[in-house]
Amino acid sequence: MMELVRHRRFPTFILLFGLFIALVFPWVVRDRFAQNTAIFVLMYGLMAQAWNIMGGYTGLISVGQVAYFGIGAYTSAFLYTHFGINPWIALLIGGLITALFGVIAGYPVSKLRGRYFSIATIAMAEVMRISFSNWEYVGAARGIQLPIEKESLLTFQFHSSRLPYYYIILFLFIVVNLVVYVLERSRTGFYFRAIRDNEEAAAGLGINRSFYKLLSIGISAFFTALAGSFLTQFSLYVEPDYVFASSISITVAMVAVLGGIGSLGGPILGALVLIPLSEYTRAWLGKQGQGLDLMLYGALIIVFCILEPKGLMGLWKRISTKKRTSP
Amino acid sequence: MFIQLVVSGLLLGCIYSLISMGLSLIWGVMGIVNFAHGAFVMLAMYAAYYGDQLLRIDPLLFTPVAILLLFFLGVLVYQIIIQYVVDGPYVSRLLATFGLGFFLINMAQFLWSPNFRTIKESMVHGVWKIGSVMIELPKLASSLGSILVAALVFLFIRKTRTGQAIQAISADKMGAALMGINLKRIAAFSFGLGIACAGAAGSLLATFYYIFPDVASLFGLIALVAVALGGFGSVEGAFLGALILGLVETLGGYYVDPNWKYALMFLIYLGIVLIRPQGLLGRGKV
Repeated sequence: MMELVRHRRFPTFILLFGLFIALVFPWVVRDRFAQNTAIFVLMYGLMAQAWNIMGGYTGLISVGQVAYFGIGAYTSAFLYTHFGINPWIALLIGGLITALFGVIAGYPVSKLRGRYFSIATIAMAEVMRISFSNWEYVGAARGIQLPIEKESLLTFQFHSSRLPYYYIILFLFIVVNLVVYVLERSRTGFYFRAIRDNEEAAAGLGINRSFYKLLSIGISAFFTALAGSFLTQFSLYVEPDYVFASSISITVAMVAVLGGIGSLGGPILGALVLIPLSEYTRAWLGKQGQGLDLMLYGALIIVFCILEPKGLMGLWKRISTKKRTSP
Repeated sequence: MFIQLVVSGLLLGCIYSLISMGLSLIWGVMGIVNFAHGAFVMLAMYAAYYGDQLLRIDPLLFTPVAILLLFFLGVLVYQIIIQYVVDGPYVSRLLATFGLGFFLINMAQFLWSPNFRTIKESMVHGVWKIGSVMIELPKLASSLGSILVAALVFLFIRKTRTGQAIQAISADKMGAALMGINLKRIAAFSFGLGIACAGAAGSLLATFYYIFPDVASLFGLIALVAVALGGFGSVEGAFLGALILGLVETLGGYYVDPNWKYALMFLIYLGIVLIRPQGLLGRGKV
């Protein structure tokens, strides 16, 4: 049994090696498109890992993560343009406000299960998109445009190079992974999994399921919102159809599922495979006409769901256990 | 005005019912929540559009053709995709249909551009006035068509052998298999039938609704919400849910704000499932 448990995790040296690669990557690869792609890999990796906390560990399968993403993006854009609050503080406040939103909205919704929960999350995300599209105070359908500032770490704006953005998102990505790493080994993480595997039994053992469900939603919403705030600084504008696009929710869930849910390595692996695939097909086919690249992306999702329903981590497990057990 | 709004809400609700019925049927037989359902409504709308443009067939009369086309498309999709994910984990079932929807919507964008299209004048047009209530005839015709198709599907499920096999599988999959029912064949048929319902609704909607690729997301979400609102596994529930959504759409659009009507629909849904997590007519635990 011990053996089995050990093989299920990604070996730590692979993670450390990956970290080293990530640190030197933009110095080796100078191509702007590749660097942008790497930024999106990390951004979606961050969100997918946040999704994993809810979906993979606690079993709350959300297909409306874009609600948190968009609220985070809007909050920091709004705080910055209206009150001149420093983007870094705005990013943090955005995360906290979104976490609060997640907990309050999540309180009733987390009582739903399975498909009912998933449908409620889409409905929630759609309500947010419609609300922000019609809310004059935050620019309605026009959204918010951020003024261009002098580039510095303090203003969170960089124009001459993508490198600072890369390292900032890498930092946020590492933080979320550390949180999951600690969570995986903690009592809280154990409670999350207990709720996922059998909610009644967990409650019977005295685990406060409402509290732990909301805790996982809160953490997930916080980190998803950080990705949203990052995008605000990266693209310098927010718009309802852009930051509340349902395709973001699907991509986030897909990255996690493709990699394999309920494990630390899953979302990392998923982001490394799916995001470059989608970015490069976009670059390749995007000009050929509207929709062709996204069509291929949809087909890709279907193929992955058919071929590897347990995710790439499942494939990894099969390969690694086969190697060890074969004489 | 109130009666006027209630009437048009119910008319709209009837069409939503037909879409939801297909979704409910598919769920009952194979436990798949078809997140691509709206995309099939959209495809049928385009089929009806081209039926009108190229063949000069009115969308209302085109409905049987749309039903057949979408039925075979549904069976094909079952053979190519659904049968391979049906026994997989919940998330991959969910994302497979999401991916399918994404594929179809973007295919429509690629083939037919994101522009809005409308059918100029349907064979049924004009307004019927009863007292102060005005009923738009295209909507009335579409609603009656929806009721007719829904009734036929309902009768089919209740009266024919295949229909009884579908009921048997919904009630007890193992038991049905032991009685010699071919699960794969019936599942393929049911998926086709569920998609055909979406197809009929799409063709009927094409007489008065805007036709564009993203209409799929809207109708898909409405159908999902209607079924969740009524309770999965209950066809009557799906009907009730769809009628409620139709009413909220027209009443909310008038008394609150047309821009907020969909937000209102989804909020009311969220409000109701908080009190009844299993849906209005759903049975047992969630």
